[in-house]
Amino acid sequence: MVAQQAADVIKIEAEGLLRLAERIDESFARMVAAICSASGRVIVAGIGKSGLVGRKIVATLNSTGTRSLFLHPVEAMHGDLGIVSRDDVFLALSNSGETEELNMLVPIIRDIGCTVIALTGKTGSTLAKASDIVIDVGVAREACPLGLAPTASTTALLAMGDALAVVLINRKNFKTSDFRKFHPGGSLGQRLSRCVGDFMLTGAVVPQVAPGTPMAEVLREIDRCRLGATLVVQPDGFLAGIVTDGDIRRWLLHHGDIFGEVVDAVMTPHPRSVSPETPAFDALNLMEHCQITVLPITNPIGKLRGVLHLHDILGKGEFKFNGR
Amino acid sequence: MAAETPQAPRGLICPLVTPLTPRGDLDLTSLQRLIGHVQRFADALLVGDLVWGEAGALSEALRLDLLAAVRDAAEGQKPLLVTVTGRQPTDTRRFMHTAEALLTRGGDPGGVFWVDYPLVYHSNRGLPQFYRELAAETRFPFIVANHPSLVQPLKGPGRLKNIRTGVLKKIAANPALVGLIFVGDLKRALNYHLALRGRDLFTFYDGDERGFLKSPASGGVVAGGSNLLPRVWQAVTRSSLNWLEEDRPFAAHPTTLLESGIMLHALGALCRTAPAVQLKTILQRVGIIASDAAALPADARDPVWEADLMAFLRAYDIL
Repeated sequence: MVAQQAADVIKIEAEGLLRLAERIDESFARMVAAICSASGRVIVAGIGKSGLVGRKIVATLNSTGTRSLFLHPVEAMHGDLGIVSRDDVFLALSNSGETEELNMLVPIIRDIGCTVIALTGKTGSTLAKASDIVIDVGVAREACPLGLAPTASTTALLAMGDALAVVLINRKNFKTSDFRKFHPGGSLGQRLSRCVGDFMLTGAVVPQVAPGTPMAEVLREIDRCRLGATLVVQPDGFLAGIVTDGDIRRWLLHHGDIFGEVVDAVMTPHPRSVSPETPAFDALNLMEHCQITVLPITNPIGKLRGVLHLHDILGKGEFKFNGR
Repeated sequence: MAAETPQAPRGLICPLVTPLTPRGDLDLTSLQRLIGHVQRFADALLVGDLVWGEAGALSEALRLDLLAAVRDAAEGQKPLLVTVTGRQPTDTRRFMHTAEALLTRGGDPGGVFWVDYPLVYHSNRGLPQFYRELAAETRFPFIVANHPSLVQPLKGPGRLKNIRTGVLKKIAANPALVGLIFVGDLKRALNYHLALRGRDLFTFYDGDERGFLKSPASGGVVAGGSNLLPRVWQAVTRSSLNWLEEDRPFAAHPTTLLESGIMLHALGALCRTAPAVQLKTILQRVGIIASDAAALPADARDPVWEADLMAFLRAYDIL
C-alpha cells in the first residue's frame, strides 16, 4: 500500500516532467539568448518552495559558469534591490504567478532595465503578463492528494532550472576543466595532495646565476624569468643562495648603489629548500610560515632540481576569482 | 674543570669524516665544504672520531691540524665534540692538553666537549679514578663512548668490551661526565639508563644509526650518514626526539619521514663494513669532497658494493 502510494507520486511527477518536455518552445531559446547576451548576472527570486528551488538553480548556474545570485523578494523591498543592475537578467519563480511579494517586485525590476523572465505554471497570471519572457512550467496535477503542497510543480521547476544550466553549458562551451576552476576547494585539495615535483619549474625557466655574478646581470636574470627572485647555484649544481626582490630592496635602502656589487654580497645564503618528493601541502605551509613566494627544490644533498612559486601550488595561473 | 658544567648538546651529532689529499695531507678545501654542507643541520660536530673520522689511523699532528681547521671553519656556530682517545692513557692525556691549548688560544672557544672511548686504552678497573684525575686537568666536560665492536680487535680473549654498568655509575658520579655515546644491545642500554637514573643533565646518544632509527635514544644520535644527508638526518632526528613543537610548520610529512628512514637505512647498509672509507667514497662521488683517499685500508669497495652504491644514488636522485 505504502509502496504503491510512493510509486504513484513518482509517476505523477514523471508525467509532469514528460509533459513539460513536450511544451518547451521558442520561449526557452529566447530565455537562453537573453542570458547569454546579458553582461550581468542572473538574479533568481521566489518565495516559499519556489524560493528553495531558486537557490538550487543559482547554485547550479554558478558552478557551471553562469554568474548568478538569489534575491529574496521581501528582502529586496527592504534594500537588497541595490544589488540588481540593468545588465542583469531577472528570473522570477512562481507556480501560481500570483505571489504578491514577487509581483510587487517585478515592475521595479523592469524599471531598472532588466529583462524579466517568468517561470510559472500559469501563463495567464499577473507575473506572466508583467514579464518579457514566459516559460511554462505548469503540471496537470500535484502529487499531494489534497492538491495543496507543491510537489510535481516544484519538481518541474527544478528540472527546468537544470535544463537551462545544461543548455548554457553547451552554449558557453563550458568544459570539465572549467568546472574544476569553479570548485577551488576541490581543485586546491587535489593540488595539495600531490608532490612539489609535479608543479616545480625546471630547465631554462629556472632563474639562476653563479656565485660572483655582477648584480646587473642578476637583475636581468630576475627580470627574464619573472619570479621575483633568482637562485645562486655553484658550478657543480649545489644551491648556494637566493636573491629576491626583497633582498634588493633592503640592500638599496641600507647601502645605496647595488650595481657595483656581486651576487654573493646581496644574496641570502643557504635558503630553505625542500625535495621534489615533499607534499605540496608541506611546501605551502613552509612558504606561508616563512612568508616567501619562491622555494628552491633540491635533491637530498642540496643540488638544485627546480624552483616552486606559490602560484604554481595554488594554480593561480589558470584560476580567476571573478569567474571570467 | 669549570664550576658550572655545560649540558651536552642534544639532537643530531655529525661525526665529520677527515678529508685527505691523495698524499695523505688534510684537504682543507674539502673540509670547509663539508662543514658548510652539514653545519646548518647538525646540532653539534664531532671531530676526529675513531669510527668516522679515522682518528686511530691519523698522526697526532694531523689530528690537531684537523681540529684547528674545523674550529676555524665552524666559527663557533655549533658545539664541537672532540675525540681525545689515544693508544695509551698517556697519549689521551697529552692529546687532550694539546687540543685544549689549541682551542683556547684565541679566547673562549664556546661549547667544547671531549669524547673518549676509554676501553680502547684502559680496562674497567680503575676507570673512575682515571676520569677523576683527567677531569681535574681540563675545563671541558667529557662524553664517554661505549663501542664494543671497536674495542674487540684490540682486546685479548676474555676481556670486557663494554663499560661495566657499575663502573659507568661510578664514572657518572663525576659531574664532568655529561653524556654517553652508546653502541650495543638494548638490554645493556636499559641497564645503563637504570644505573644513571639519578643523574641530572646526562645525555644518551645512539652511536649506531640503525639503533636510533629503530628505537631512538633520548639525547640524539651520532650519525655518520649526516655527512652526506644532513637535512634528512635532521628531519628524522627531530621527529624521533619529538622536537615538533618548535618546528611545527616544517614538520615532515609522515610518509616523507618513512621514506627518509628507508633512505638512511640504505645509506647505513652501504657504510657497514668500512664506515669511514665507504662514506668518503660516496662523498667524493657526489662532489662534496675532492678525494676518497683514506687513512684506513681501502679494500671495501668491491664491484658489488659499487653497483649497490650506484643503485642507491640513482634511486634517491643524489648524483
